[in-house]
Amino acid sequence: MSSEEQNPDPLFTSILVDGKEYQAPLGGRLIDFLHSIGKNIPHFCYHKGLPVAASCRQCQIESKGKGPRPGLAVSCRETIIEGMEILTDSEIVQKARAGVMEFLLLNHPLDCPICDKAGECMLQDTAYSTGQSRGRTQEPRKHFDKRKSLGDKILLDNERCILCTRCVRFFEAVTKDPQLTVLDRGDRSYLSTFMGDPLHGNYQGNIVDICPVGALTLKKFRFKSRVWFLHATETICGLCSKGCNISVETRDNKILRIRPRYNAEINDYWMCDEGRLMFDRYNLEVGETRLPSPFFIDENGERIPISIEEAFKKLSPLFLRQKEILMVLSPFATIEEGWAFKELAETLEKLGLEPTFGYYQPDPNAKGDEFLHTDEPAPNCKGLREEVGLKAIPPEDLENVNSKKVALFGFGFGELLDQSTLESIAAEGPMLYMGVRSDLFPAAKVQLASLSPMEKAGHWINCDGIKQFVRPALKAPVLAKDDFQLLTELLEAFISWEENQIDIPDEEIMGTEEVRT
Amino acid sequence: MKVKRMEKKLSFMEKLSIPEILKGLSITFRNMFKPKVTRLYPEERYKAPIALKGQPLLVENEDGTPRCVACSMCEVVCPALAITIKAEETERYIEREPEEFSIDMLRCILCGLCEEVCPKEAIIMSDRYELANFTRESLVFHKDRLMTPIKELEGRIRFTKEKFDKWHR
Repeated sequence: MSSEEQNPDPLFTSILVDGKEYQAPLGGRLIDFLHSIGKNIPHFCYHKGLPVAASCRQCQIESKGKGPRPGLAVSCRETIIEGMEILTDSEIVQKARAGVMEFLLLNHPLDCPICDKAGECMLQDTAYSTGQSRGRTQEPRKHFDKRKSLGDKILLDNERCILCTRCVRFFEAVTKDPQLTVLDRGDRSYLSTFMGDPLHGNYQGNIVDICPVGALTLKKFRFKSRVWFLHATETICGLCSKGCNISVETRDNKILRIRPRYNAEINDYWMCDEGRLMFDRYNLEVGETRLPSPFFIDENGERIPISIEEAFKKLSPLFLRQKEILMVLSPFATIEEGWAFKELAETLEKLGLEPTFGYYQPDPNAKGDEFLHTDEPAPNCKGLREEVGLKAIPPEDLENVNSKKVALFGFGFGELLDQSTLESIAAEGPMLYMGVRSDLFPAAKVQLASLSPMEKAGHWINCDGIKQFVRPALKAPVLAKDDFQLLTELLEAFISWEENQIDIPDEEIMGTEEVRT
Repeated sequence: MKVKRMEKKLSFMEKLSIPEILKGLSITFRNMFKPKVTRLYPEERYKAPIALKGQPLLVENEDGTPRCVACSMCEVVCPALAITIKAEETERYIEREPEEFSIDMLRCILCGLCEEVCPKEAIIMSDRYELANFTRESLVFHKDRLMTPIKELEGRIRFTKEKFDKWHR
């Protein structure tokens, strides 16, 4: 105690909260500090990632000492100074908050049974804990436009809006492209875009997350499921090399929505609409587009489901009798898979083959911006290049290639390869396709069912060199195997064939005319 | 070992058995003129009292629209996980209605929690108690079989309203 008195930390000061002394960061925001010590301060307009508006007046506290004028003060606006004395739950505070809630609920429709936000709605929670259960007004509630479309992604319900202006401030302060505003005065105020134009830009979905009520809803998630049925998994977005932290919310093994997770180093509280909305590529139906188990295509072009052991047996002549093979790993592969892939290719080299191997490096697209999205449409190019040390295979190398000598490993070729390359490879069929889609390379001689990035675990390195862990959010089909496991088993199989000098009969050589000499 | 036989010594009248027969027959004849408690079941059906919790049904408004807004409260509360709901958007002022609403009567335990939790009085325990069939599929009731005009369920709706109002006062 004495040492503290001698050397007081210049960054901290002691303040009194509800009669108890705390060490608070000097100049910090009061509401953040009150939340951090476990005080329940309800709030609507305040958001950590946005500038302060102090318009909802729900976070009021009572001030007694220095700082704000004695009486009620709005805690989101106050910075911590020396000698503060604060009451968070006094009678006057409770009365003020209840009054604010009554005004907010005055014209709010009783929509909770049909509102998508119900269950994670801040207004609902606060009304339940502090509000009164019956309204005192006799007048009919005000009615606004209930289904106003703001572009092709977002729907606005002006009746539910409590005018906290979080969405307005998001476009003003975060994307620096103001698009929304509050029009009219007093109780006729409503939210609108400028001149009623639809919203534009790649970051619209964030206003749905930060909306404290159900006024802004995502069209893609509208009425899909109640939020309490969703099962959230914390993982990483793979649609560009930024590696935004996301929470994937699933129900019945289907992704229904994706929301950003806070990470100060990468994406803060935000994510782009591409990552938020383009999850259909992971929701593959077994029997339609999902490869459920390993397949083998015989001479007549018939698909025969086989076991993994059989698949390896079919693969041995394809690999061992071919001298030059182009082995391409998808940039969606994790670091671990990169190591296994490299080991596999180097083993083939030792066996006397001359494989060209590397990861597929897609051309930069023009989708990059200064905020989050990058030009690279794949998550782990940097990791495979710098951590694993694989060679980059540009798209030109795949354009005019004998597709019978190509082996493709991993998820994402359907999205990354351009249409003409895809068709030219798919026409003859690569000799091996390890992936998740059955409609992509139906002519591939051997097809191994592996997992999509939403189904497996591993590490990705983003464009800034940050290594992040990917968690499985979905369950894979029973017979599909993890890419890393398949690669290591394939490696073991190759080694054992070469050691045992297994003689492969000619009739098992499928569609490979060029025999290794 | 000696076995001792215990026998009741019957009197002469008891040995005759006639009074006992007459006693039994008097009960028989008395019951012949009493009102019947059994019924010829398939032809004569039992009209259940309003308090019976029978097959849960969905209420159809007078204009043919469902009352249900697919809020999934019954799906949450159902202890037997018998209810499955999928919502869709409508053009009406109430934007939401069930696209798919099924109650698996093989799982349903007729507890009535769904009726109690419903914020719209849209799911009602009816007086239908004949829940037997030959296939499993026929006992999964879908929206088309659950939707019942409000007139048929008015009595029960009134009954539950009174009951729940009393509890929640």
